[in-house]
Amino acid sequence: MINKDFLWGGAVAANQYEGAWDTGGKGISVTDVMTKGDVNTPRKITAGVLPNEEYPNHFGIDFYHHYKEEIELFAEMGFKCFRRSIAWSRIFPHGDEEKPNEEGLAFYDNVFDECLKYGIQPVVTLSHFEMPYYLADHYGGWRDRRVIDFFLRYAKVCFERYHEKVKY
Amino acid sequence: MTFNEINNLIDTDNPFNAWTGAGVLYKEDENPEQTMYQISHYQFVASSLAVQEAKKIDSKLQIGCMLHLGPLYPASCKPLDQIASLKAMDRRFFFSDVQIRGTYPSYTKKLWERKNVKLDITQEDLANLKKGTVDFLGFSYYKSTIAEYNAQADFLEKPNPYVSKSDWGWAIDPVGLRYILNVAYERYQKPLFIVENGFGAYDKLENGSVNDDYRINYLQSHVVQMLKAIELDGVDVIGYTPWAAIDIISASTGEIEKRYGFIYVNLDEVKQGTAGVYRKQSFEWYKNIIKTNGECLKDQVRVEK
Repeated sequence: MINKDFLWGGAVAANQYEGAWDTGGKGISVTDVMTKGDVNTPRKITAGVLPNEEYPNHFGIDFYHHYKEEIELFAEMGFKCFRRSIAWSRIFPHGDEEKPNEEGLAFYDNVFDECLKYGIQPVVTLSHFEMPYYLADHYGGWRDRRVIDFFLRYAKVCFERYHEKVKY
Repeated sequence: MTFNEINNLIDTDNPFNAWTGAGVLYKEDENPEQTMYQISHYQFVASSLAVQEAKKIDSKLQIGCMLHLGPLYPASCKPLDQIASLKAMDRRFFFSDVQIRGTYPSYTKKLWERKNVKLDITQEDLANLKKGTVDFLGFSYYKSTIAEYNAQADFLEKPNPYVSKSDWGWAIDPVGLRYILNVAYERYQKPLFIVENGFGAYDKLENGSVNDDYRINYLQSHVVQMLKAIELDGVDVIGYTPWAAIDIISASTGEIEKRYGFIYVNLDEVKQGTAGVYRKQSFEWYKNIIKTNGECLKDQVRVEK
């Protein structure tokens, strides 16, 4: 019936499941300063990470420390692909650095290798609600034309590093 | 894909869209629409430069744009409701029109003229938009709504009275997925990738599993409509990745209680250091769909309905 190469899989976003918000050299992202809400209470955006607030994205579901077990379960379901994002602030913690954070790059190497071990193709979103908070705070986010260059630098680092592991 | 649900930016009434999508908080003394078009422009340029860079590094890389997509059907067969629906869909497709066609649509240029929107757009930017068009369209699909003509606004968006609702008040419109696949494919003739589709619910963990037949029903009816689009209509669909692979915290509230995954996550157990993950019934259902490459649904696909 349909193409044998059809990409059945599942999706997540780094900021909603990775946790480890300040581990491995990661910088604060825009969702790391959003407090917990519920049906009746909207989330708040705070000026930086404040001591007495609860930030659910900081822990996510702690995939950062459990990715092997979870990818094994995806493999058991037969996933052909796994759509996820790279947390920009893991690669460039502030966003305007010249050099990327090697520990962040190595983490995604491990995740992609683990997927490929089971024949699962990683499908990547470069920016999924997790730009570095520093860029929002110091440059006004995408109001500033210079952010184009910062994004391009980040994208280029990802393409060079992962192009043999990621096609989409 | 470059920017997730980039077209969420169009809705400037919800401050979270500009924050999560662009790190921007609108100021009280500014025209948010003008700012929205400016930040969108910078993202379009960034996306087009990234595409060009990707092709230089590896010509096999496939880069897509990503939209939040669902139909806004005409509220009735009144001619003005057709125009309302058309305008509503243009607002949704504006972003992919730029990222896929590499040029600003004429309806947008006219809107900028009419509303006196002035932007920082250089000739070099416009040349880059043309050079860095994306290879495919990824999108999330959750539901449909309707567009009704309104003299003040271009249209009013309302719930669709003809589709069923979940116990949690969500409109469920699987046929809308087949419809939007056709509309998007006719508009662009580019491969489409359904990168989100799913059902949020308060799951109950019993005996180490969750009987989530509501999720299975939702996903199965959508998969059937996707297969119809492929098999009967000839739409080029690359893949299907439901939201979410596993329970995660929600983007709108940060809670985990509204669950989407095939795998149940007990956050308390995870925090105590044990695995805390359980296969739901939908886990087994999806395993079978993938194993048979959708063949197990073929009787439902061949029926014209």
